[in-house]
Amino acid sequence: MNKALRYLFWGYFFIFFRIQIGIDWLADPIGYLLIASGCLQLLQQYPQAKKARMVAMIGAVISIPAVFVNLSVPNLGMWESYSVLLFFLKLIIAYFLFTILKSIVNDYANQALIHRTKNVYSFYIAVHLASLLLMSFSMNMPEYPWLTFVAALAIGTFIMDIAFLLLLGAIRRAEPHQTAQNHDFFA
Amino acid sequence: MKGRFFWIALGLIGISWIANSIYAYSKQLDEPIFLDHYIDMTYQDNLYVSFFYLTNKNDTSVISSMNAGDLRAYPEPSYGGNGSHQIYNYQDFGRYVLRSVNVTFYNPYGDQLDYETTEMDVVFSDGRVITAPIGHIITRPMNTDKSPLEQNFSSSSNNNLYQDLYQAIEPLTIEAVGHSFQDDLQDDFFIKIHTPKNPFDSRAADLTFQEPMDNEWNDIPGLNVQDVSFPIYLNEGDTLSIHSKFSTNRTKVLYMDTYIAGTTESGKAFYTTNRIGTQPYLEKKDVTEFIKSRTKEDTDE
Repeated sequence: MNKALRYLFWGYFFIFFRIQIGIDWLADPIGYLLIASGCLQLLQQYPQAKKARMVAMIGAVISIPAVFVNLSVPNLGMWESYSVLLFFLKLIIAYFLFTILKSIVNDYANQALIHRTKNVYSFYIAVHLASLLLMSFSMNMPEYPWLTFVAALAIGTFIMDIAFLLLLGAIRRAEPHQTAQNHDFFA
Repeated sequence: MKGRFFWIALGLIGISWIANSIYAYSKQLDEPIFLDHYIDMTYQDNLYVSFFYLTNKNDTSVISSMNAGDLRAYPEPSYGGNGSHQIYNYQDFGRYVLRSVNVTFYNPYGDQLDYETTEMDVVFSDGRVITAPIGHIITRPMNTDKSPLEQNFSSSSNNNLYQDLYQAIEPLTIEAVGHSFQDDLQDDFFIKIHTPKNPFDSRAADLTFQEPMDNEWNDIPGLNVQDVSFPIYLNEGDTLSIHSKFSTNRTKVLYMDTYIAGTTESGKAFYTTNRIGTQPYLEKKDVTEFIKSRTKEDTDE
């Protein structure tokens, strides 16, 4: 379980962050493969991991071009649609991971974590959906003031991505019956 | 949030993306549309002019050159940090953007070139070449003679009102006051002339200097230029005040001279000019109307 959650953490970390020096050194396909591998380990205990695993496998293939194309520069033409597709994909994988996490914290019977997971889940999904909705109109809207709203929500999604990673870490640490072999998560 | 809501919301957002994309695509301009520029230039040194054009927001090309006959204009190179062309939107209207390009006209044949055009071939960095209506450009030889009219005062206001005050330094006759685009701009550009009989009469001076920029055009002293019966005789020391006003037609860009043509008492012809330069400021409805008028012209042909 601990290992599986670590895989999920680093998997999402790879998808979320980019280090663009020639190519993306935190390659999205590696992130999706890590998540798929983490899901495989959880499959027996949490059957809902099957869907997350499937999406992760699809994501691993679809996100391959993102390693080589710098998606953070403006006026990308067709790559902009691709960039949006990746955003959708990230949201879907996060949604499925949340369903697993909710089951895990229920099993832990840790009230504080159950509450936190529910909160992060609601905010994460709401902010990401709102951001995608607003972005869909930006091609037909004047940059000002529309871009201000989009930028505000982009900060929101960034915060929720971090919150999601922190939640993954917290759940991993809260696992009952931890063995002595476990190192500190952030070490 | 229940799972079903998530998928419904995601589906609706997906539809929104598709619908927005289709709509944006259907409204795309086939090619950039230039505003109407009214430019008269004297071939002196190299001349710098800003052209403004509407294009699609996702247009990543920049202008490489603009040509008409022997006229050649090249933009100032502007490169971004990564070596690509830097694209600057002068104004943003959602799907469309108004971009400006600062070009330098080069003079290949010395200063005696008379040329007139309403279209230019525009070459874009992506290889596109379009023949675009750009308004009206006139070139004429430069006039370096000293003017017998001394400019004492000149001002312009942000509501496109201009005032120039001249004083005759010798007796002279004014035969015409105007500009090069009388036909093109008859509904857009107006000139008023005022010649106080005695320039040193304080009342007359007050009339001229009383903050005319705050006044309505009608309240400005002087006669509309088409109502003036030329010639006008000025003695040495007489003043001449010229007011001009550019209408609110925002899709027209002026880079032209108003001129005063006449003869001095000694029989020497003079041609005194004064530069009027405007920059466009469009509103959304101007853009819609302008695109409609231009694309309609195309389909009529």
